[in-house]
Order: sequence, then C-alpha cells, then structure tokens
Amino acid sequence: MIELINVNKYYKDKHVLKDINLDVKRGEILALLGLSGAGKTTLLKVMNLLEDIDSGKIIFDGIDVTNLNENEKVKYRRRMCLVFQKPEFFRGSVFDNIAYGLKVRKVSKREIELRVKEALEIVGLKGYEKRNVKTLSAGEAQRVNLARALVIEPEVLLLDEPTSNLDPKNTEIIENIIKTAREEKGVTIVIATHDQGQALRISDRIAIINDGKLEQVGYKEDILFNPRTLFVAKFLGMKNIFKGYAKNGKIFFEDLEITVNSNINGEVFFGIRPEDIMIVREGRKKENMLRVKIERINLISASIYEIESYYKSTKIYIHVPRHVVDVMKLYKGKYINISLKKDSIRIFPK
Amino acid sequence: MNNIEIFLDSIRRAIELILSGDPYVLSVTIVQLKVNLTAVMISILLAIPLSIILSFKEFKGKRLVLSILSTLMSLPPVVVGLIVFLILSKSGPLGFLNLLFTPEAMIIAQTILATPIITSMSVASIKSVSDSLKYVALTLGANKYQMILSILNEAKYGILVAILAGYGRVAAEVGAILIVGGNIVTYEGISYTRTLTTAITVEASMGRLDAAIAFGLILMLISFIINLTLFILQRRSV
Ligand SMILES: Nc1ncnc2c1ncn2[C@@H]1O[C@H](COP(=O)(O)OP(=O)(O)OP(=O)(O)O)[C@@H](O)[C@H]1O
Ligand SMILES: [Mg+2]
Repeated sequence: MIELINVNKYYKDKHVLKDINLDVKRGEILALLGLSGAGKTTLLKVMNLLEDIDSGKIIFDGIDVTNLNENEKVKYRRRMCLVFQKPEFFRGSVFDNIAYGLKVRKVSKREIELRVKEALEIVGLKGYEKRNVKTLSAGEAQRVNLARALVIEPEVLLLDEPTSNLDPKNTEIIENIIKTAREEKGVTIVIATHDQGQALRISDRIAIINDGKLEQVGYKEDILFNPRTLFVAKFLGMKNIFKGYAKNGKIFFEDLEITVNSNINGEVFFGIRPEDIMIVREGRKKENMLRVKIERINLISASIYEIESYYKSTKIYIHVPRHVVDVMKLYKGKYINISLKKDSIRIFPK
Repeated sequence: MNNIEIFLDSIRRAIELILSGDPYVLSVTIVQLKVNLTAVMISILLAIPLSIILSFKEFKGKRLVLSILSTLMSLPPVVVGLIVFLILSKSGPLGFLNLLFTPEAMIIAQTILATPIITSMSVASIKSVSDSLKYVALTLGANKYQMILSILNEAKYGILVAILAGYGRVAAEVGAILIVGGNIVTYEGISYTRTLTTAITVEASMGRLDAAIAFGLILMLISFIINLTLFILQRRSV
C-alpha cells in the first residue's frame, strides 16, 4: 500500500531517516516501534506526504508519489489520515472538528451530520457534538482526534502514539477502535508506539526503528523470537544478554561451556529471554545447566514473577508463572539449578 | 470666574457644541473618520495578503521584510509625514499628482503608518496558532488554500486586534497629517484637511478651550470604543 525505498531525510544537518526500506501491506496493522527521537513521527509524516524527503522513493498504491506538486499531493493525502500524538483542535465544537475533513472534501451537509454522529458512536462519545473541544478530558480528546480521522474513512490510517498519554482503560478503548477499523473497514494501519506490549497486542507486523534506521521488520513472532540485532533483542525484553567467546558450537562464558546451535567463532553477545529459562528440579539434569542464587523475587504482572538471580557476578533474570514460586518454594538466598535451552539462545556477533 | 469655573464652563460649552451639531465640529469629525477609516481599509487590503505571504511562504529576504516592517512600526509619525511630504511636494517624484494638502495625502501617510503595525501584529497572531494545526488541516485533507483559511480563522481575533491597533495608531496621530494635510479649513468654516487631532492643536494654541475640549471629548469617545472592542475581543479569543 505504501512502499518506502531507500528513504533518507535530514532536518538541517541531522540525519533523521536513514535508508528506510519498508513496505506497508494493504489491510495490515504495522507497528512502528522505537524509542523517543527514533524518527517515528517523521516517518509517518513522510508517508503522509507532509514532509519532503532528501532521497529515495515513496510508492503509494503502486504509484510513485515522491515528487508531486502540492495539488497532486492533496489527492493522495486524502486517501490517508495521520492522527497526531497530541490532539490539536480547531476552535469550536466537537462536531466542527470531526466534520472538518468532510467539509474540505465538499461532502453534503446532511451526510456530514450522519457520518459525524456515526463516528462519535464508534469512539463511544455519542451525543458529544455540541461540546466545546476545550472542555474534553485527555481520553475524550484522543477519541475525538481519532474520530476525526475515522469519519473520513481513509484507506490508510497513520497513528502517532495514540495512547501515550492515556490510562489503561482509555488505551484499551482506543486499541479496540483501531482493531475494529481494520476488521470492519479493511483499513491499512501504521501505528507508531514506544510500547512493545501495545505493538504485540494490536499489530500483525512490527518494524523496529532505532536512531533513524529500521533495525528489523517482520511478523511479531519472528521479531520476538528471532531478533536480528542486539538492539531489537533488548528492546523486546531479552533481558539476559551476556558476552562470551564462541568456538565450534560452544560459548565460553564465566567458567561455563554453553552449547549453542551456531557455528560462529569469536567474541559474541548471546541472550535468552527470561521466560525461556527453565528452573530444574533438584536431582534432575538438563542441557546447559547452571546453579544460581536467588537475590530478589518480584511480582511484575498478575501472573508472572521476576526472579533476579546470580551466577557468580552475572545477573540472570528468570520469569516464572506465579504458582511456580509456591510449588518450588523459591525464596531469597536459595540456590536453584536453571537450564539455558540451546534452542532459546540467540547469538549476536560483535 | 476662577480657573476651575472657567474650565468647567469650557467643558459645558464643549458639550453644547457637540450636541448642537455645529457644522465646523461635525466636518472635522467627518474628516477624521473618513481619513482614518479609509487609511485602515487600504492598510487591511495590503496587510492581510502580506501577512499571509509572510506566514505561509518561505522566500529569500523574508527576515529583511520583517525587520523593515518593525522599523516602520516604530517610526515617528512626523518622520513618515515628512517623507510623504517630500514625495508629494511639487519637486518630488509624485509631485505631478497634486496631492499635497489633500485628504488623499493624509490617507497615504496614515496608510504607511497603519500597514506595518497591522501586518506584523497579524503575522504574530498567525504564528501563535500552533504550527501542528497546519499539519492537522493538511492531513485531514485540506488543500493549501483551505489550510490557510483555517489557520486565519484560528487567528481571527488576533488579526482583529491588529486592525484595531492600527486604527488606534492613526486615530491618535497628529504629526503626519499636519505636515501633508496642512490643517486646512474652508472660508465657510468647514474642514477640508483638519482632523480632531490637528484641530485640537490649533484651537488650544488659539485659546479656544471649548472647541479644543469638544474635539478632545470626541476623540476620547472614539478611543474608548476601540478599547472596549479590543477588550471584548481579547476576552473572546482566550
Ligand atoms: N522540525 C524538526 N526540525 C529539526 N529536527 C527535528 C524536527 N522534527 C524532528 N526532529 C528531530 O528528528 C528526530 C526524530 O524525531 P521524531 O519526532 O520523528 O521522533 P519520534 O520517534 O517521533 O520521537 P517521540 O517518540 O519522542 O515522538 C529527533 O531527533 C528530533 O529532534
Ligand atoms: Mg513522535
């Protein structure tokens, strides 16, 4: 639907987008995941033809839209809509603001009224037409912000951190609206977020952007379990990353010899997700087993405990379901055996 | 009569003068309003497009234009009057138009006084509309023209304030119109280029306190109306 080819963008001397190649497919939800300042907003503006690029190509629905004049840009821009992170409204009522996109498209008054009403219902703000936008709460404002894009029925919806200032309840409402828009209208959606949980919850594919570069693009399972770079691995919660020396399918680390599925030789980083580490019952044997001391046990979600443990001076995080802590009688100071399954270990050459 | 009594008597007679519809007072007021209003109208026609260009177009020399405007804004009216005088005088570049000492000359001078202030205040108020609202308009499908209209609509109170400030500047101004208008009254005692402000200087210097006060009162009324409108606008704009 939108394809970016070798896109580069500078603000003055600052290289903000670096050789971006990205193909947003029709009807998908793509999460653009990156830290603050990574270039998410800029990338969305580029897709929306709101910012010019310095080199590269933008293809929209098969048509090269890189170097259009302002009038032609409007034509393509009207097939998409960008919802900005901070809701900014025109002076006036909720109705005026939601009607804006339809008015500039010269939609008839009657139809505008119907569609605004419908859009408000979709975002759960039925009857808010006459409210002054200045009186809206942050959650309501973000929903009106979204309604004003949905009412246009764009083919592509570009969302810039639509929930970054909202509480969990409002976040869930917004996420549901987004998912419904895709399911019912087949809208193609690109959502910028710095929240990996959100990216996983609502997207089909995730594109990780770091300092203006796309680190990895792929289906979320792929990104999660086969991170290609250290950055992606860390960003998506691979909390255990160690430095070691690899040789002939083994990694030497502390005084251990860890078997891995790789033939890389030399200094490497290797990592394992905390939830992939298994606690081994006393007396049993498992691959890559080591004995660690529990330093801290912390409930980090309704169902998961995070165990902070040490092997010599190396800190290792382990995530276990809640009941495991009781069943295995885990407590601070206890020594346990853990297994680093070789299928779960990822290796990143230095 | 002591001084205070003389003063109070002048005020009483001034009010009588106004209420009686004295032709001289009336004509001075009309010239004042005509010159001020026409100058501000022309200024609006120049300043609004200019401020749109300055706000929405990037071009070389934009900074220069803006700094010229702010210089013109702080120029004393007498100096502007002198410049217009030199240009319109017999030997000046536009001398052939024979405009010196006419209401038109006054309008020209006041247009030069009002345009910079209306322009730069309008630019400031357009600038105060959040930049991201431009992007909002565009992404919602506005073309450039629609986007500019929307932003102007956001800035409209600020622009109205700018216009009133321009009006305030020319309404209170004496120096420029005195030089280029000549403060002329016809033999029948009807104003040709005499305004409330220039009239006050003449009447006061000739000791005709009642007339001077009458003109002062009318001028105060005008500026009161401007300020009241400004006050209402500023309350509406927040
Ligand atoms: N108009 C601009 N002029 C100069 N630099 C800019 C401009 N807009 C963005 N930048 C810079 O470009 C970089 C990327 O900014 P961008 O807003 O795209 O990041 P982001 O990923 O959206 O961040 P956040 O999560 O904080 O919104 C930042 O370093 C920012 O300072
Ligand atoms: Mg951003």
